[in-house]
Amino acid sequence: MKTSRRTFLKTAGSLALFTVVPRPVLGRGYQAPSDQLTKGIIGVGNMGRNHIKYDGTRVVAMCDVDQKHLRQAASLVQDQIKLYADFRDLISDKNVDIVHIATPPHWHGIMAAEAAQAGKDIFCEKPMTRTIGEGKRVMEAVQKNGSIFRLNTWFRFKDPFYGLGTPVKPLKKLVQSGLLGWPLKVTISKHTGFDWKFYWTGKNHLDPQPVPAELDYNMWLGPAPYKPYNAHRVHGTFRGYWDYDAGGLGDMGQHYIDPVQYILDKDHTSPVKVEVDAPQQHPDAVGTWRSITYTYEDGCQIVLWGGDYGIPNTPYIAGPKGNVYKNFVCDIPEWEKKLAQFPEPSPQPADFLECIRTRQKFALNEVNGYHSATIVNMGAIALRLNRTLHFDAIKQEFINDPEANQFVNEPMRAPWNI
Amino acid sequence: MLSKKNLSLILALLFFISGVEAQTPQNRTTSTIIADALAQLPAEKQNVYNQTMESLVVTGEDGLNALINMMDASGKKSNETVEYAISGWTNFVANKPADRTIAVAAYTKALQQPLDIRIKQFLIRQLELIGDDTNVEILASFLNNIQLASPAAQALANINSQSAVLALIESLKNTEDEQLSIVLVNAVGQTENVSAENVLLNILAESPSEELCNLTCMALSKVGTMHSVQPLKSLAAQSGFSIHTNKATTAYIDLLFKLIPSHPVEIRKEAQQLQKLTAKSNQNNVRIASTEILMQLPDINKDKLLKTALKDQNPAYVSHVLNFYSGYTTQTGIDLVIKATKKTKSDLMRTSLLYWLGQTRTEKAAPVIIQYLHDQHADVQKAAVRSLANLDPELSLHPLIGLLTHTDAAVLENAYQTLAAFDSDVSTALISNYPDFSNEGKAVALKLLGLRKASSSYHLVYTEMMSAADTKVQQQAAVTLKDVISADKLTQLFDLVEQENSNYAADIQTAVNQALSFESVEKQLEIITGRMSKANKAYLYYPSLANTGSTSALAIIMDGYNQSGSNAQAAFNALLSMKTFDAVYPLLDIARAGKDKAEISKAVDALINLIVSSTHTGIVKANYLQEVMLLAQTGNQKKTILNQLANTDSFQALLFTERFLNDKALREVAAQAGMKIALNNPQYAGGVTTKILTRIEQVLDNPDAEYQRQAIQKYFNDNKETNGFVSIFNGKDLTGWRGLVGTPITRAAMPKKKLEEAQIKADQAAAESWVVEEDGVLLFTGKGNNLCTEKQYDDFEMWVDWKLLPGKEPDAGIYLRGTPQVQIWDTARVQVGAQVGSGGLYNNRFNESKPIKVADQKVGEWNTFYIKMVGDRVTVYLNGALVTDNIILENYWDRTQPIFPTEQIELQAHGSKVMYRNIFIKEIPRPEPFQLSKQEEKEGFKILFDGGNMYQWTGNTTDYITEDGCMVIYPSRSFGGNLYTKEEFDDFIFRFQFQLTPGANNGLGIRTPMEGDAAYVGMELQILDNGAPIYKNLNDYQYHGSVYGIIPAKRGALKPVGEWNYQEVIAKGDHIKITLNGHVIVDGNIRDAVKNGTPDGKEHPGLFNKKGHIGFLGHGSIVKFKEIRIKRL
Repeated sequence: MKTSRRTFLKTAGSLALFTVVPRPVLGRGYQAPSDQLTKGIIGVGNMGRNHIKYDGTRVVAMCDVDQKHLRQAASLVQDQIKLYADFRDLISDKNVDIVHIATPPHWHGIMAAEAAQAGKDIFCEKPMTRTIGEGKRVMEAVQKNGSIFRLNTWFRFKDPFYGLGTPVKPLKKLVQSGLLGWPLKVTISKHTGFDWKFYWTGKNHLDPQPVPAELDYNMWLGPAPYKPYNAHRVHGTFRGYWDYDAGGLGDMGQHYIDPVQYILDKDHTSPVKVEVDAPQQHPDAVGTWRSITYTYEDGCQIVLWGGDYGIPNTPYIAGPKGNVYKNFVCDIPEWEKKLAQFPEPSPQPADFLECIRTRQKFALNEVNGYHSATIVNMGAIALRLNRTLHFDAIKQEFINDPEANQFVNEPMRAPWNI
Repeated sequence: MLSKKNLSLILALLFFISGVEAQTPQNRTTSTIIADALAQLPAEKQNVYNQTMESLVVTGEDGLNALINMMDASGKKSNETVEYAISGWTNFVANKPADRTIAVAAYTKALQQPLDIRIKQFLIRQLELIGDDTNVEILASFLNNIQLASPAAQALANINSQSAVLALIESLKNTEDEQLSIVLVNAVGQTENVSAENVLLNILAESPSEELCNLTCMALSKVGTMHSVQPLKSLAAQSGFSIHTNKATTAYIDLLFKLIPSHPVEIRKEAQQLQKLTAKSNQNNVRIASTEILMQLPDINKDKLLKTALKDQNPAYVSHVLNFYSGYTTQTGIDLVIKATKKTKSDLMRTSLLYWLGQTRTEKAAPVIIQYLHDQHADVQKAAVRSLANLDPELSLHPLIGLLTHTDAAVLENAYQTLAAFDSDVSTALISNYPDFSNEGKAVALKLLGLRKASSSYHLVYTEMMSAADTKVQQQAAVTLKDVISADKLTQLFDLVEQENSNYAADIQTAVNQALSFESVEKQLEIITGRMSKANKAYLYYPSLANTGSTSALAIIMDGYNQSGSNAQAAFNALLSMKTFDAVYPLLDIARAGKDKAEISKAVDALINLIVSSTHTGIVKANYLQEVMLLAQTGNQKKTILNQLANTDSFQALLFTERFLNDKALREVAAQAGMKIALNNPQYAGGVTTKILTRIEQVLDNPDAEYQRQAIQKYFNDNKETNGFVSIFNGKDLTGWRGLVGTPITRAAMPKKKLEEAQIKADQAAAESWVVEEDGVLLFTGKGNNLCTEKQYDDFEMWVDWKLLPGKEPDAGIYLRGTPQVQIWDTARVQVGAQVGSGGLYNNRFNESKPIKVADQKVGEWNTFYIKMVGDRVTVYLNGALVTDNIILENYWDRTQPIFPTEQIELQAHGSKVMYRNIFIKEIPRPEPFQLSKQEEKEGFKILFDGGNMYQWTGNTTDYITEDGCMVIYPSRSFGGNLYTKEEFDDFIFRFQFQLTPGANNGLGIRTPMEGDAAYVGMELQILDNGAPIYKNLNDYQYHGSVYGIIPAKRGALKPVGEWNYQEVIAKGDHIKITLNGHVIVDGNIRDAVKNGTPDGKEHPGLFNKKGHIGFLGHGSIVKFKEIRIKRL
C-alpha cells in the first residue's frame, strides 16, 4: 500500500488548501499589504493565536492538526489566507516569508530545520527544542541555509523581566561593570520574582480515551513515542509530559534563563555541571522539584528554586563584592553613582523585521537560543535521571555518561527525523 | 567492660542511626524488599532514591521479573508505582556494567513472554535506554509487528552496534510492507551507519512512494558515501534542485557537507556545479549552501570565492557568504569588501558590507565607514554607526558626536544608543561640541550627560533649562537636572522654587529632592524649615518636606492642610507623595470625609501605595486595604486592591475576597486573590476556606482555570483531616451568643433552675449592650456585661478582629475558657501601664502577663488577634506579631486550681465602645489525658502530668511546654532552665516516661530546693543519651541513672534514641533504687556511697535533705516526658 502524506490528508479531513472568504468590509486602520513581509503560523492553539497579533507582518497561512483550532484561529483574521493540516505544505508555500512555530516543543526541531532548509526565516516559540541534539541540528540548518531565526522570548532586550521588578539592561550593565566581582551566582525563584508554574505537572496514570474526530493525533504526536490518547496529553496540558516538554521548567525555563545567560556573558558556552534536588520523576509524567543548580567552568552558578523552596530575601545576583536583589536593590554603597561611569550594554538588534531586511542576526537567535535551551534540557535530563551530571561545554555532551547522552539525541518515531 | 547485652544494644543503636542500609538485605526475601521499596517510591529525596534502588537491584533478575509481572495489562489500573520502580532501576544501573547486564537480560526475557502490547512498549523503551548487543535478536523479532516495530527500531538505532544495524538492514530487505519500510529506513538513517547504503540505494532504484523516497534520501544523506552522490543528484536535478518538491536536493546538499573531509576534490566539483546551476535559478538558499561547502573545502582560495560573490547583486546571498568567509579573513578580503562598499548601487548590500567591516574591527575601514555615517538610507546609516562604534574610540568618538548635528529622529536614536554604550568618557566631548548640535541633538546630548551623571555639566544643564531657545531642549535639561545635581546647588534651586514661575517646577522639585537626599533626614528638615521660616509662601516647601519621609514633616504639612487656599491645596498634594506610613491616617480621614470624587480617588491611590510599600505585616496591610476598598472610586483601584490582598497571606483578606465573587467585574481578580491566599496557607484549610474555594472553583475563568481547579482539589485532598475555621458570629444577630452569668465557679454551684432564670435575664441585658452593625460588625455600646459563646471550648485556634473606638479609657479583652483575659487596651493609657500593648495575659501573676512587643494599631483602626489555646497554654499573635508565646493562663477565679479544661469564650465588656468582626474558631482535637491504672490508683499514686496542663509544676514553664500530650523542653527558646513540682516530697515512688534526642542531657532533681544546682543542693539522677560519642569519656557516676557524682548506674538499659523509656525511682531514706525499662540500674545507699568521701570529690551539701521538690534539670537538649505520677511513701 502506498500512503503519502497527501493521501493521508484526505482521510484526515478535507481542510487542505481551504480558503477563507475575505470579509466584505475591512476594518479601520487597514493597510495595503503589498510591501509587508508575510508569515505562516504552525500551531494555532492558545499560543499560536498570539502570533497573529505580532506587528509588522501579514498572516497568509495557518496550519494545525486540530481542525477546531484551525477554524477558530482563521476566524480571527480578515485577510484571505491558506489553511493547512500538514506543516510541510505551509513551509513550501511560496507566499510565506516567515514561518512561525507555535506547536508543542517536541515539534520545534523538525519544523525549524525544515523551514530553514526551505529558505524561510523563522520565528520559533520557546523552548527552542526539546532535546540538545535537535537544538544543535536546528542551529546548523539555520546557518547552512542562511535563515534569520528568532526565538520568542524577549526579556534580554525588552522590559520588564517578570516579577524581578527591573528590566535586564541595567543588570547587564552592573554585571559588565565588574562592581559585583566574579564569579556570580544568579537565583531564579519565587523569592526573586519568578514562578516555576508547578501546575504544569502530568498525571501518572491516564486512561485511554477515544481520539476526537477533529484531531489528527498521530500527527500531533509526530516524532514522540506512540502512547494511547488521553485529553490531558494534548492541548493546554501537554507540558506535563516528558515526551513533549518538561513542565514549568520547559515552559518558563528559557524565558527566565536566557537573560541570565546574556547577563553572565555565556551566550556561546554551557554549564559544566548540573545538580538536582527533586523527588523521583515518573517516566512519563513531569513532577515537581526543589532545586536545580548549574555551575559554569569559571564558577558562575545559576540556581533554580521550585515552588516555595529556598531562602527568602535571596539576592537575584550574588557576587563577591556585592549583591542585587529584586526591584534592583543593590547593597553596594553609592552604586548608582559608581555605575554611571560605565557604558550601557551594547545595543542589540531587536527589530526582527529589520534583521530580515538587512540579513543580520537577531538579538535572540539560533546560537544563544540553542545554548539557553540546552541549559533547560540539561536540567530536564538531570531531573529524569535524578542525579548530578557533568557536561563537556565544547563537545556539547555529557562526560562519560552514555545514559545521559541517550537523552541528548532521542531517536524519533518514523517517519520523522532531522 | 562491655557485656554481651551492651554490645547488641550498641549494634541496635548503630542500625537505628544509619537507617535503611543497616537492615541486612540477606535477611529479607525478594518480595519483602520489593514491597519495602515500592512503599518508598516515588522517593522524595535523592539519597532515599539511591538507597531504595540499591536495595532493589540486589534482588536481580528475579526481582525485576516480579516487578514486571506486577504491571496491570488492562491499562485501566494505574501502574505508576511499578513504573517508578522499573524506570528507576533502568536509570540506576545504566552506568554500572554488571547490574546493567542483569537488567538487560531480565527485560529481554520478559519481552519473550506473552505480555500486553503497552507493557512491551514500556520494556522496549527500557532497552532503548540501556540495551546492548545482546538484545538485538529480541528487538529484531519485533520488527515485523507494526505496533512494536517503531519502538524496537528506535531502540536498535540507539544501540547502534554493527549487529543492531544489520538487523535493521535485514528486516528492511525482507519487508514488503510500506509502513514497516518507512519505520526501518528512518531508523537506519538515524544510525548514520554506512552499511545501510546499499539497501537504501536499492529502494531508491525501485521508484518508491513519495514518502519512502524522501525518507530514503534523508537516510542516505546520513549514511551515504560517494556512491550515493549521483543517485541523489539526479533525483534533485529532476526537481530542478528545488527544495520544495521533494527531499532529494536537501539530502544531496547534506551528503556533500558530510563528504567534505573525505572527498574534497569530488565535492568541490559538485559544489561548483551546483553553485552555477542555482545562480540563475531562484534557489537562493541552495546557492548559499553550495557556497558554504566551497568555503569549507581546505584547498580553495577563499578570497577568490569572496570576490566572485561580491559581484552578485543579491544582498542576502552576499551577507551569508561574508559570514562564512569571516573565519578566513585576509587583508585582501577586507580590501575587496571596502571596494565593494564604495562601488555597490544597492543600499542593502552596502548595509551588509558595512556591518561586516565593523566586525573585522579593522581601522583601515574607518574612512569608508565614516563616509556613510550621514547616509540618506536608514539601514546604511545605522550600519555605519554601529560599525564605527566597534573601532578605536579615538577614531570613532568625534564622528559619532558629529551625528548630533542631525535633526532626524532615527539618526539621533542610533547616535544615542551607540554613545550610551560607548566605552570611554563622552561627556567632555559632548559639552565642548554642544553649541554645534541641532536642537534635537542637544536634547540627546543632555540625555547622555544625565545618563553618565556628569555633574561637570550642571551649569550647562541649568542654563539650558532656563534659557535654551528651543522648548524641547529646555524640557530635556529640566529632566536631566536631577542627574547632575550636587548638594551645594540647593540654594540656587530653592531660589528657583520660590520664583514659582518655572514651567519645570516638577523637575526642579525632583532635583531638589535628589540634592537633599545627600543629607541626613534631620539635616534635610533643618535646611527646609530654615528656608521656610524666611519665605512668604510656606507651601512651596511642602513637596520637599513630604520627600523627607519624617513624621514631624507630616505634622507641618497637616498644619498647612488645615489652613486654606494655596497652603491647603499644596499640603494635600504633598500628602499624596508622603513616604511615611503615618500619612495613612490623614489620608483615610480625608477620603472618608471627602465629597470630591477626584480628591478621594487621588487619596485612594496614595493610600494603596503607602500601605503596600510599608513594612507592616500582611495582616495589617490587609486590614487597611479593606478600609481603602470601601473608598475606592474606580474599578481599577478595586482590582489593584484585590491583587494586593492576594499577597498578604491574611485569613481576613481571604474572607474579604468572598464578597466580590458575585461581582462580574471583580470576581476573577477576587477569585485569584482568594485562591492564592488559601493555597499558600494550608493552616487555613477546611471550614470556611473550603466554602470559599468551592465558590472560587465555579467562578474561575481564565486559560489556566482547569489547572487551578486541580490545584484546589489537591489542596482539599491534602488537608482533608482538618476541621478548619468556622464562623461563630454570623454578622446578623447574636445567634450562638448569650449574656454572662457569674463565673465558671459560681455557675457550676448554681441550681439548674436558678441558672436558667439568671441566663434569661443576662441574655436580655446582652441584647441591649451588644449591637450588630452593618457589614457584620459587632458593637459593644460601652454599657453592660460580657458576651459569651453558648458553646464550650477546650483546645482551639481563634481569629478575631477588634477595634477600640476613641473615647474615655478604651479597654476590652477576650476571656478564654471563661477566664480573663487576652488584654485589649489603648496604649496611650500609660497611667495603667497600657504602653506595653495588647495581647498579654493581663491577670497572670506567676507566668508572663505582658506582651512581647507592642503591635497595636491606632485607636479607631482594626486589629487582628490570632489566639491558640492548647491545654493551659495560650499563644497570641497581634496583627501578625507574636506577643504571647505559649504561656500558661492562670485560673483567675481560683488560683489554687489549674485553668478550666473546657469553658465558654467571652468578649469582655469594660465600659468603653469596642467593635468586633470576623470571629472564627478552629477546634483542636485534644489527646486523651493520661490516667492511672487501676492498680496505681489503688496504691495511692497521684498524677503530676497528664499530658494537658502543667499546673503542678513551676519554674521554667517557658522552655518546658506541652505538646501532643507530652512535656517537652525546647532549650533553643532560652538556654537550660529547671522545672520543679510545686509540692515537696520526702520518700516516694516516682514513675515517668522519657524520650531522648541524640546527645541529650537532662536530670531528675529530687529533694531539692528551687534555687542552686540540684546535683549538690539536692540530688540529681542523671538523664543522658549514654550512646552519644561526645559522652564516651565520662566518669561512670555521670551516666544515665547515676545519682550524680555519688552512685554509678549500670549501663545498657536505655532504649535507642527516639524511643520511650520507662523509669521508676524509689527514694526511701538513704536508699535509692532506679529501674529503667525493667532493669534495675541503681540500687544503693547514699550514706554508704560517701563513706570514704564523695566519689566525685565535690561537696554535696544537700545529699541528705529530708525533703524537697522534684525537678527536671535542663542542660540544653530537647527531651520529652510523659505519664508522670508519684506515690508518697
